[in-house]
Amino acid sequence: MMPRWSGGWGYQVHYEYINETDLLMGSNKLYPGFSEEINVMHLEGVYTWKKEIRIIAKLPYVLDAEREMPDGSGGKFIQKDSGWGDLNLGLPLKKYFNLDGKSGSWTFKPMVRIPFAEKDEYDFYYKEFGVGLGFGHEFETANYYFGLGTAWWIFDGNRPAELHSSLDVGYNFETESSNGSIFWETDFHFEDDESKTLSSGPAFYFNHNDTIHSRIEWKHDLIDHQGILDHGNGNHFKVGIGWVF
Amino acid sequence: MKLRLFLILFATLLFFSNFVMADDDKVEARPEVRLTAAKKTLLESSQISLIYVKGLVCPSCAIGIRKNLSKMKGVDKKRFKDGIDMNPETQLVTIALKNGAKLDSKDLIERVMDAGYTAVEEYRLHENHLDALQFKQDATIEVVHHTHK
Repeated sequence: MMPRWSGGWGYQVHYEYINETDLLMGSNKLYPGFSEEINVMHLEGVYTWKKEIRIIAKLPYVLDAEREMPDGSGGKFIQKDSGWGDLNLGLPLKKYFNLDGKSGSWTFKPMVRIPFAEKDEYDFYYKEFGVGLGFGHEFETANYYFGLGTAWWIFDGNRPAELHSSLDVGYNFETESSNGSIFWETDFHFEDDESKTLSSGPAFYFNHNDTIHSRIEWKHDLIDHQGILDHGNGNHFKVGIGWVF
Repeated sequence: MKLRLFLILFATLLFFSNFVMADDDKVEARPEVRLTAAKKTLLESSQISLIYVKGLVCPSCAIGIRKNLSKMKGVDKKRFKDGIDMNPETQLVTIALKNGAKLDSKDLIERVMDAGYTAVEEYRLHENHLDALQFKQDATIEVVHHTHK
């Protein structure tokens, strides 16, 4: 949850588990059952100067990543990765609007990605400098939420440019003393080597009180097409807790 | 080519999304619902200030309203949640006041604005009618007699 009020700040930690089940080339399972498993802890912070300007920082730490690759003689070998990922810094510029029964915002977000570790044999994160531009629009009523966002990234090294887009719809509910939301979220990820992934799934957000918030989500890859030999057909699970002040 | 199609679809969704959700028939968007709720609240409670905050539809996003208003002089933080009750369906904010306390309207308008919202008017009961004290851009107030009974 991002604080909308001037001087608001917060931080959150969330755990992410990714399990890709096959090694793909295009949409074909070139090596079915060659899996990839990743456990990541994300640390995130936000500070809102004024309601129109805020800064966000995201730093992932790979607890354990492991993937199975073909050894060239019909078998497989395992590659591992762990340690810090890339630091993401963003400067979302927001234009809020308040209507009778409806509130929302337009967002323009310049971003930069800073590598935080040396390259290994296998890197779940890119470990390359990158710059990105994001654009988003969201609004909600007392009952419903709608959000659209897209971000475009280019990198300093060999990594292909990327486009991430998301479409989220949600239902807001209230309990006796608090509130929450149930979402259906859909993400589209495109890389300039013709890789495309469409994933979708539910998410649940709960506002425990004015300070503590939590969120849990699951997404499944509905369409996965890899432009180069890479893992795909996966599931993504996230659970997190955040504090705002 | 597929990427281009996707971008066109994305832009179309973005454009039409506003029309999909801009439903004036929704209960929470009707002014008469808000005015009825305002009158009921004023009849049932004492020592309060009742404000219509335009856009207050999401309690999580509006936490800043509570944070900012609860710091105002004269707010009784022992009542409600830190002295502030927010209703996203009617967009009404009820501020609990200490005995004899009055809020500074200019300060109130600025604190709501600072939280990302717009304070539109304050409701009061006058001979069983609902009066609205409309907040102007220069923080002056204009009294409007609502016909709502």
